Amino acid sequence: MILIDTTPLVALCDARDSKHRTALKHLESLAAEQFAACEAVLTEACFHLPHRSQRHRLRALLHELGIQALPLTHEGAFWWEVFDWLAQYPDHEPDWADACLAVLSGRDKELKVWTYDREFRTTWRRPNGTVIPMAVEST
Amino acid sequence: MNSRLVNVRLDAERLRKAQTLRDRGVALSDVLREAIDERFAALRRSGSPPDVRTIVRRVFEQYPDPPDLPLRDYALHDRRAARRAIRRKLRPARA
Repeated sequence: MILIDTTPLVALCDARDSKHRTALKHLESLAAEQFAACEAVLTEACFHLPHRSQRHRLRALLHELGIQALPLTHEGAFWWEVFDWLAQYPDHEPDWADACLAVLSGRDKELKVWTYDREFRTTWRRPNGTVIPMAVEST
Repeated sequence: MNSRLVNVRLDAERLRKAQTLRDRGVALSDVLREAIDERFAALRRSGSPPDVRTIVRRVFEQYPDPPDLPLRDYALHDRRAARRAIRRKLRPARA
């Protein structure tokens, strides 16, 4: 399963984004996989895609690509895990969405994160300290 | 969450297993959801992948941007710039 971060999701929905073509190419290479996204990423995506047409496209792509919502159930324990992860990186000021991706990656060993953020490759780790598997090479 | 209730019939053996799982604190609804996701993923893997370029092109044709849509005035792929932009957007609402 591929967990999508904000930047590739926004890039897919905005043809004028500097990474739109890259994101399309990556989407093609990952087409056989199951995709997932978390609510924090959608919140960020809506900040960066404020216009109605952009949000229509976001909604349509989530539906057409069968992007699943994660975590599957809304449990308070997930929040505490996210807060605990954030507390490990006070100097790097990660966002809530970054923490959600790292925690979800720690919960499912098969999950790969599709992101263009350098920190997932250089700095951030799963809650148990292991590397977060990436879905695509660095751009 | 928009969801629908689904009833599943179980034979005696599966009922016993389900009861054991429940006794150990496992939510049966989660078991069913995970099983559906796994089968769905396997189905996708066994078939040909969807033509994602066509999907994206169709979505852009269906929901085009208006011609006067302004360009984003910050670098989305610069995390500090993106964060500053979000803070800028939040500031007036809190004032």
